[in-house]
Amino acid sequence: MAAKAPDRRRNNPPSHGTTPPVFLSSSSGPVKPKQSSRPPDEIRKIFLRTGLISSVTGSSFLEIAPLKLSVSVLGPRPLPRTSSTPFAAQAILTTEVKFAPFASTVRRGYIRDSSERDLGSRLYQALVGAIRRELYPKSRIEVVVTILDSEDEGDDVNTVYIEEGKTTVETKFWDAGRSERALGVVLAGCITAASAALADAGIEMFDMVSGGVATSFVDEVSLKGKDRGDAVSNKLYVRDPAIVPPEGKAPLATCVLGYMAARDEISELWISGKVGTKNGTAEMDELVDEAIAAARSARGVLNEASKERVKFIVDKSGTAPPTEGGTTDVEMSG
Amino acid sequence: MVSSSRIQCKGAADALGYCHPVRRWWVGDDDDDDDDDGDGDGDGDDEGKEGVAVNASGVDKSHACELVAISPYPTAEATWPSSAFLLGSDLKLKPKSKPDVEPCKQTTHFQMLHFEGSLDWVFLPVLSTSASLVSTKPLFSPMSSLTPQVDSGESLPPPPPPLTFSTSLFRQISPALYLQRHLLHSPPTRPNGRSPSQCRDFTLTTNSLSHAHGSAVVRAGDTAVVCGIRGEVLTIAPGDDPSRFESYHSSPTSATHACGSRGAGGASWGGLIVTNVELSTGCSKKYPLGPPGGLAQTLSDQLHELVNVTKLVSLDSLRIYDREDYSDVTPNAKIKGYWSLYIDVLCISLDGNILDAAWYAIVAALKSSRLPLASWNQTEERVFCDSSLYHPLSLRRSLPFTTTFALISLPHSDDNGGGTTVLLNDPDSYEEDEACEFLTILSTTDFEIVEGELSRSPLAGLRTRVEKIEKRGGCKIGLRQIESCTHQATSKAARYIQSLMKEQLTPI
Amino acid sequence: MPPPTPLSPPELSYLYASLSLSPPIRLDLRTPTQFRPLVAECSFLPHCNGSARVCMAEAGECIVGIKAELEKDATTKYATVIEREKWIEVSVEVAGGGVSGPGSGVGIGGISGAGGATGRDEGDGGAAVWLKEGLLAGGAGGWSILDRLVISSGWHWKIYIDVLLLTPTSHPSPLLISAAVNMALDSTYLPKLTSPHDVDDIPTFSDDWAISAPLYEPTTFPRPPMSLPVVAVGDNVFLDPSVAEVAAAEAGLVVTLSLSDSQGNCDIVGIRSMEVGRGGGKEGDRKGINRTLLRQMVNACVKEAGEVIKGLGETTHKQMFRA
Repeated sequence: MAAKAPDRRRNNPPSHGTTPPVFLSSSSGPVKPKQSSRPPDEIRKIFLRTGLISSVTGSSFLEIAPLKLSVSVLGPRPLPRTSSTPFAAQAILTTEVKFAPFASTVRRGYIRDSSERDLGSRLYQALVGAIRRELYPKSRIEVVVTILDSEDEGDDVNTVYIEEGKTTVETKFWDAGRSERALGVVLAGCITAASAALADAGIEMFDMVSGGVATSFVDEVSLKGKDRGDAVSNKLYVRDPAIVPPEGKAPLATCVLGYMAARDEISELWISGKVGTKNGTAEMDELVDEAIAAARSARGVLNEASKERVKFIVDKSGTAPPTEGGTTDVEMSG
Repeated sequence: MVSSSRIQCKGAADALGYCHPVRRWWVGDDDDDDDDDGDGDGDGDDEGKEGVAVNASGVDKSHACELVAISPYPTAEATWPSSAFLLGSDLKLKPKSKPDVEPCKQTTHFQMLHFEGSLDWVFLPVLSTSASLVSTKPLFSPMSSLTPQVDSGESLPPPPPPLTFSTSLFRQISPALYLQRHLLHSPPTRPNGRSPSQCRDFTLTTNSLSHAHGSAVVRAGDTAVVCGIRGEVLTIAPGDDPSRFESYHSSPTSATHACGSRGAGGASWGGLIVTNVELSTGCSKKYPLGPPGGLAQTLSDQLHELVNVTKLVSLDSLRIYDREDYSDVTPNAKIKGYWSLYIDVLCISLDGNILDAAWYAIVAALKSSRLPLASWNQTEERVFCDSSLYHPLSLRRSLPFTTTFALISLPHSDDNGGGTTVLLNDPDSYEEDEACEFLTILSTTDFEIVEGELSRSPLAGLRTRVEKIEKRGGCKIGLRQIESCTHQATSKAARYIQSLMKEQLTPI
Repeated sequence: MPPPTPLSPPELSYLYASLSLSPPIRLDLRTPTQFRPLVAECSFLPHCNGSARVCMAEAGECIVGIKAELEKDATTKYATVIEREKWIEVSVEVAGGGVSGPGSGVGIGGISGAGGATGRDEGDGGAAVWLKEGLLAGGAGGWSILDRLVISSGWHWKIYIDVLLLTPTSHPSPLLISAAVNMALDSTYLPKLTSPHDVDDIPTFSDDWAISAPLYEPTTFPRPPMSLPVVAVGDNVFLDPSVAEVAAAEAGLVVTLSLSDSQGNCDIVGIRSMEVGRGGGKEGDRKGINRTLLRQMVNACVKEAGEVIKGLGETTHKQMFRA
């Protein structure tokens, strides 16, 4: 880690600077981690629970395999009365996404880095259209996401492979698009969990947004030829992809989206990677459809979690009808 | 038990920050050799027959005695293993006219207590004897202004308000009164249904995170924290002297660490173990987002200091040697680097008493940490790790745990007009808001002894000792209260140990 | 946060109405797929390996300088994946501290109202993330620009891409930035290595720029990526929207494309949604993009992009050879 100026508000590491541990492997290549037996059109199990944090308006906790994240919704609360605050006819939404320092293979700093800010703005984009912001004038709604653990490359990225007789760095095919897949799964999780937390907070929405992610793969051998990627014949689409690509496959493109199932609208779209245009947008459509299918599956979990919470609230308050109109409102639109 | 105890006293007003000259007494075991070195600055009110100087103003009714050091061992001053600093107040003085009042009638309250070191918790009687040593002698001349004003009728509870509110509304409108009414109730019950000495149930999960070298999730009531530990490699540059880190780590006083991590000039660089607390995670409505505020900074410092002062991690497991094979370290192996431990505590949900939860998470995470075996690679000139060999950190044998109490002062009570203080074990944030200050006890339990005997009775053979008591001044508490707190801390530490061991024993 | 726009609600409503007509009427009377004229020059900074300057009448000016530095690998022979990704560094600076708001080109990368409100962040990395993503994503499918940065065993180029924006508005168009970066990358040349490939010593280079090697070979593909903004109002789709059009639009995308053959066909290498003002629409009309509209928007980009990117490339090469 580069030795920058010490942070006045935190305890600082030794001034020498420290580096993440680097592993040495003399085997000829990365030991391929075990493949999941999950069919490509099935998403991983999602654990989603809302209302775990009592001191905030709404909260949720989501777990998809190694990904663990917690979402808090603060507000709606009044904007600070300062002269610089403009009049806001609609609620001002802010979103923050922060990885815990220990959430990824490379330790993250305390200040949000550019990829975290980028995730925050993607999340904003996904949610802002869905919230009925005009119902909360002169107020702000803050969505804070803390990522405790995420699936990323594992120690492989920090491993030096020594192969005798080779002098140059060879990019492994599976390296390409690796961080997009990792961030994509995180973003999709953030979107789903944030919607659940907003519903828990009783904030009215047009529809709940669920996140979906899909990646297209091709045969590794077809990439090595001259007509890279042009052999679109045998594409494999994987919903909710793991970091490790399927055996013998190389990733082409990853698509993440925020999807409002009841309105059939995409509130946030993020495609990264190579999408051919030989047949117009057909290739992109397939990818987007896969991601939407993943988002629909996530929506089911989202509905269940919200229902569970509403039931809990209703049961707790005896026979009284739920007072949070927003929560039921959202619920019915599913 | 006590073979030599020395008590240093000085005027309360001085100790409390007033600009009066310092007076000191040295009190030996035989209370005859009082040595007054503070004479001559008394302002005429000095009528102490045994050569005792009395504070001139005398308006402050809380006079104090300060114990600088106590030791149960008959050793020389220089090698005392521990030190204590305490400031008592409200020594009820025997009126001159009744010199034969029994000492047991006296009450001693402690206003400030700072104790560091390692002692059996039974040291408390020592404290009390020491305190009585002070108070059995008429150190202060009886003065009318010194005797507490006994208000005979004025301090009746206020008449009930003409308005009545529902309980929840009352709780919102006047939290202090709401809390007081609960605590004055017999038996005293806290608004959350617990008794004052009852702490919240907690759960512990270790190593649930995949990227941290060690991690723990602690949930106590509605407070939830996650602690993750990551090791990074610090390579020693050719010109560097490794003794800097060796000495830094072994430095005995907390002051060095406090200055080292974020000293007087603001920011600077710290040692090998870097502890930080993050509260800006939307854990509470009250805690703002953004850079760490006062609470987060204080907590980070407190925990950082605790990790260093208690010498939780032994430096042995942090050294990286110059060696080719992974066998035992040869004596002439050169130190090529160190592991630097980043301890990060994230508060997920905040409902009071984050210190205990965070500290417990840190200890559990350290206990569950596994670092890869690292060594210096001569050809690549770089430290490489072996992904197949992991080793645990070597921690100190007995693990210390903190127990925090919130001090709530009640407005009045039956006999003494000064009011009483109630100590609430493991306060939630509602209670924390009304507390006037906090008392933290760091106690230790010998871990290894119990480990083999878990099947029989987990708590059998526990040897619990008090390592640190911290009370920063503000409220007054009595000896009995400290003693009962120590008992509570002891039993809580034992429960911590128990759950930690249970967690360690379950296969991952 | 609503985008800071100079237009009042009635003005936005009028704009929305005129843009949703069939056929639509744009304020500057362009056709829906017509781009605004832009002035571009490249290789004008003598101390950079590659540079470009692009001006657009309304959106302002963007200057990009690319410098390559020699860097030793952290390990002697092999770099880890994480180390490799640091070989390219992108920074975006807005001159004069222009506040970048949502809907801006910079905002699409992430410095929109979503982030900075709590004062927790420093600097502007959003656009940089977006640009770097485009550069690296172009390589999906077996080719990576990082491969071209390897010099010899133990040494590589480190590329610094510095973007300076001079804009009168707070809404620089993503087109402006990406066109400038595209040209700068296209005009980047690296000196020729004269020392042997497989030696660990500091490599030596020829000082003759005539034999230097381009970072992107002009005749091979993929070429440097380029991003096109597109917005939708009603059923109409508009390329290269102006500030006012972004404020009135209901949905927006930034499509990043890269030429895949000499005929001007493009591959999509990235799509991101762009924050738009939703200024003139009616309540509850459209909260996202449906699939038909998405297809329509991307199609418009793909159709027009080839010509634009090719044209830009030709301009670059003409200027390079003239120099």
